[in-house]
Amino acid sequence: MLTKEEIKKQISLGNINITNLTENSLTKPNSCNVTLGDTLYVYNEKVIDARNQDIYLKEVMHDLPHNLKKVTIPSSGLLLEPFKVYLAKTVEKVTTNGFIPIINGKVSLSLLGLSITHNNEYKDNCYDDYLLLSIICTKPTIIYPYIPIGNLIFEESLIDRVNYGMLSGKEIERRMALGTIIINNKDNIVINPNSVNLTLNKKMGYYVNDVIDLKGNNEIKEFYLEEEGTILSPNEVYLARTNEWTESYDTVPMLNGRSSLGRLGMHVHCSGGMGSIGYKGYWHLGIRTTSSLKVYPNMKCCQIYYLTPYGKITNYYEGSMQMLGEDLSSQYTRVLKNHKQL
Amino acid sequence: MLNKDGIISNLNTNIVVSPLAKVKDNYIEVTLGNELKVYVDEELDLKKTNETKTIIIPSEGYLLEANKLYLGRTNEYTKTDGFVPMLNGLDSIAALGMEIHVTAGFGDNGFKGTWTLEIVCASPTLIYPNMPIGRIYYFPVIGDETIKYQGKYLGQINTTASKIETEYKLERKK
Repeated sequence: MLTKEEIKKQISLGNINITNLTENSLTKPNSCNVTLGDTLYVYNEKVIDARNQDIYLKEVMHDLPHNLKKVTIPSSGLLLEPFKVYLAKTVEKVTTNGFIPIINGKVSLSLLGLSITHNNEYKDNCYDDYLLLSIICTKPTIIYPYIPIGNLIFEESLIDRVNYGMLSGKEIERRMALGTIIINNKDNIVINPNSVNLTLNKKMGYYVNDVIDLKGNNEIKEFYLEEEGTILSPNEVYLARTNEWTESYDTVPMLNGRSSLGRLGMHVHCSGGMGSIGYKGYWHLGIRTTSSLKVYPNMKCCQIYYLTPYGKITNYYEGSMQMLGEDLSSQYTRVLKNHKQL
Repeated sequence: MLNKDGIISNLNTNIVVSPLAKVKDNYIEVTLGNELKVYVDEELDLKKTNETKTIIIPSEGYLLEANKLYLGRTNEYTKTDGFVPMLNGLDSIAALGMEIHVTAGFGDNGFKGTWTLEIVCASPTLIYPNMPIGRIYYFPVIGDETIKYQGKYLGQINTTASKIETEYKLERKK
């Protein structure tokens, strides 16, 4: 993953270009903010034919709605229906030569149950377009125009197989002994060929109100998972966190689910797995299920991966999630406040 | 990650994909197999065997219900040695409001088999066998990579449901 310093360098070399990028969008150690405009596209049809997928995509990316209907988000907000897809594109247009742009969600929006991608995070080597947003919320959600909606990251694309890539389990262990990667409580963790399993803390939360407001303080009710199991409902997004506290200073951490749980429809985040160099804390999860699912406290629920940085590291993460600790909360209002100050 | 030349130079040794169309860029394209599985019960439990029912997608297409989990598989069998494969979807499929993977796609170094897909659509959606469904990117493994995947899904070919309950059965035996 490119560090902020490397992204700036490649921009000055002309290998990466991001239109509408403000100087202050590039402050995090390995990513920059992308924003939602004021236009959404929705389906008119009751049944969608997958054979038409390229047509629908073009209607969004070229702003030529025909089968799709165009909807403007007023500054007062628009109420999104749950589990319906709303399409959009980022304000920013990205052009790359030899680098792969990746769009990832924000943890703070993941914790509100809002997905902005559906497995389409990684793009092409020579990309020249806006980034597609496929927005789906878990509960009815009020969305606003011109809000920070995702993180833009870049991956190098090389023939080299020695210096840049993903750490093996043994390499993660080696760096834990060196202290550049910290995972506590290290006696309990299970190390996989190229990741580490993390476990689910028994305290979870759900949103009390029927409607989630992206600009509001959405009240959370906390509960504890029972030893005999607790059933999660597919109509909620659950705030949760890992038992393990992690830190990494020479790698980019990334969180993903477990194959065994994915096969049961359990999402551990909404588009939001990519971390930042220097993040210190628990991993905050926005858990969603596709059916009623009985889960257990302290179960292995996700995996952490580590990617090598490409370029010089000049700063560590100091964003909105940094002070959260054991508290369960979205922090998106903080993200919005920081965005306004730019 | 590996670029196109990197993938090509490792093909048939450290990176196996079968059947394989041409490598166009820094990923391999994969297509949807015709075998789906759905869980029979409306309520699932990690500690129990969750029974499934098989559905074969006919060539004229199959209508997926909205917000229901369907397990599927890639036609392609893959194997890697020294690389972590990552399954990513397509912009055009995301534009349909369709997910193909719930865990966001990273595999394990040493995994061999077809990829089980976890498909969820936001609207009722008609899908077809052999349609392009995703891409696999490759990340070189950094550091000592002698320990490879030996897990529950090694060598899977058919669409495979979760085997998580086996972890709890092992615990009970202890």
